[in-house]
Amino acid sequence: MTDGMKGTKTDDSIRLGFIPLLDAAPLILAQEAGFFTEEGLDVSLHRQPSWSSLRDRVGVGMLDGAQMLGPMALAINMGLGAPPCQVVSPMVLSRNGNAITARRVLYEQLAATGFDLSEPSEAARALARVVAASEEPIRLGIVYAWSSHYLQLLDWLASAGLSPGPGLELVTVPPPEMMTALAYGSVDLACVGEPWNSLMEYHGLGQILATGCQVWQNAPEKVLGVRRDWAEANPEKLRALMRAVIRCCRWLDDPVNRELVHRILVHPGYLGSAIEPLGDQGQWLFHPRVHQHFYRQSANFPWLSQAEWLLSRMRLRSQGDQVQGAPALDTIFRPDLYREVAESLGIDAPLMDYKDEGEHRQPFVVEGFRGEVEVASDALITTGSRG
Amino acid sequence: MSADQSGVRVMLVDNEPERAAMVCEALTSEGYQVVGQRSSTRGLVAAVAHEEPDVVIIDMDSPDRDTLESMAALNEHAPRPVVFFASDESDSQTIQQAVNAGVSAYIVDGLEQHRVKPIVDVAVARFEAFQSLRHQLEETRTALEDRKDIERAKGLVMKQQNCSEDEAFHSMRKLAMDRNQKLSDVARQLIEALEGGEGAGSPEAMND
Repeated sequence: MTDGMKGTKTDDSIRLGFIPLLDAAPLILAQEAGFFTEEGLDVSLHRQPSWSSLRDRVGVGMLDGAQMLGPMALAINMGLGAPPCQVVSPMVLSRNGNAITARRVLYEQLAATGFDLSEPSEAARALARVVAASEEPIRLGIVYAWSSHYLQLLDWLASAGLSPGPGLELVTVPPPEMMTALAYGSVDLACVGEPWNSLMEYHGLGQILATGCQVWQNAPEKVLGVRRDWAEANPEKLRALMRAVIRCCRWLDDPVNRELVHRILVHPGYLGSAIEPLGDQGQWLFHPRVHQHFYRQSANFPWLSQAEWLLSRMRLRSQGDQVQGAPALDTIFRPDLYREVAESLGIDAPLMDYKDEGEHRQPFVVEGFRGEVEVASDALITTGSRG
Repeated sequence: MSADQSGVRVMLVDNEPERAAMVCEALTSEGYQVVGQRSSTRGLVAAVAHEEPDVVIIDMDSPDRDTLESMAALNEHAPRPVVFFASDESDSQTIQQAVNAGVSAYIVDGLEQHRVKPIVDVAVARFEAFQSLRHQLEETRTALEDRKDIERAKGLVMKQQNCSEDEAFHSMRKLAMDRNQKLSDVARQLIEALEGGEGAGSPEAMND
């Protein structure tokens, strides 16, 4: 599906990029289940081989928008690692979806320490114990630096006073190769998005040690990012696009649709046959420990406080002074736009743009424009270095 | 190219060996030193450390670009993506052109911008040339297949109508004009109709 992108655009269709991960579902299903068509939109989806090429194609305008990593939506505006491109992110596509999976041998060593591995910071302490006793470095596989997975991994390590270094080496591996890397031991711990953790467990290569939602509960994972010039030239289309995706996200959260979701995602143009083992009715598509979801408890609302949180973690975790300056976050995340579109769908949304990130261990309610709106919990792992 | 470029070391990563050879030849003839022409990024991190290239030119659709970029974000001395700070219009055109051609470039530790641009230009030109070669090849292949199908349909029509080659060709051309279709498409439909779909494949199966 990356073909046909050469040359200039002749029609007024919307070109969106995606990466073959489970959280591309809001765009893929909006296309295949007809939500785009129902909103009168002509959308073409373009699968991308890497986050780098997705970003470059949005950057030069070969794509109007894409599924983006939360930190990427900020990085692209700031010109981190590439020429800056003004991108607007008016809604969140998914929450949670990452995990840290340990190779079987390592998992057994961790279990032997006696720490309670179901507690994420205990699991990290177990890792610290194993690292201290190991002569060989433990290798941590990550997929991309400007990602929530990477930031979550570092916070998880920090909860036990660990950080990458000589005993704990970082290795970057593309997601489809992570399984092989874990199988052959070029990686001992894999930090990657779904479906790869589920698949590594299915194939008996490793076991999920901690999940992203144990580190940052219900954090925004992927967001919709569109070029600002496209958004400004097509205000009605942008709203129709958001309506279609919000409706699709609501539909995705309904378990009765799992079978269809699996049947479509398994298509070679999307995630492909790799996800076949996750049940022919899609019954194992969403791992119970990962808590990946798309709509419930105001999942799509782009909190400005979450943009601030992501930026603060990027600043804390990047090398040197790469993350400089303070972009106007309220021109990137757009809760105002989300609210307007939600209202047109009869969906309530929070009236405020900020919440106290990390302060809610339970779901809570905030004021919406029609009444109370439920928001998911957002507890954060204790790292001793809150940005 | 002036001697000024002779010390610049370029690493090429491309899974199209013919294209890589074209880029390599062009760069070498301009006086660049091409170190490590590779088809895969497996072990690329180690290779970069070992070969110490100044520039890495990589196929834009290589899934391993994220690996390179993460190296850049995580280590001080790793390759960094080329950022032609939009000091002038031609820089942003270079970026646009490179992305269109499928070239991405990374510089290692501070080679000056003005020394990178000509390397990117050489790679872009060769990637574009390769692309148009491939288009030509595809067109030639299609033309050959079309001619084969037309000949075959003609033979079938001659047999069925018991007519001459000229007559068969004329009736096919008339059919194509009446239906406003290409002669080759008409030929394939005739083959399917007259041979019961044998060898025509099932185009529906390709859809979805």
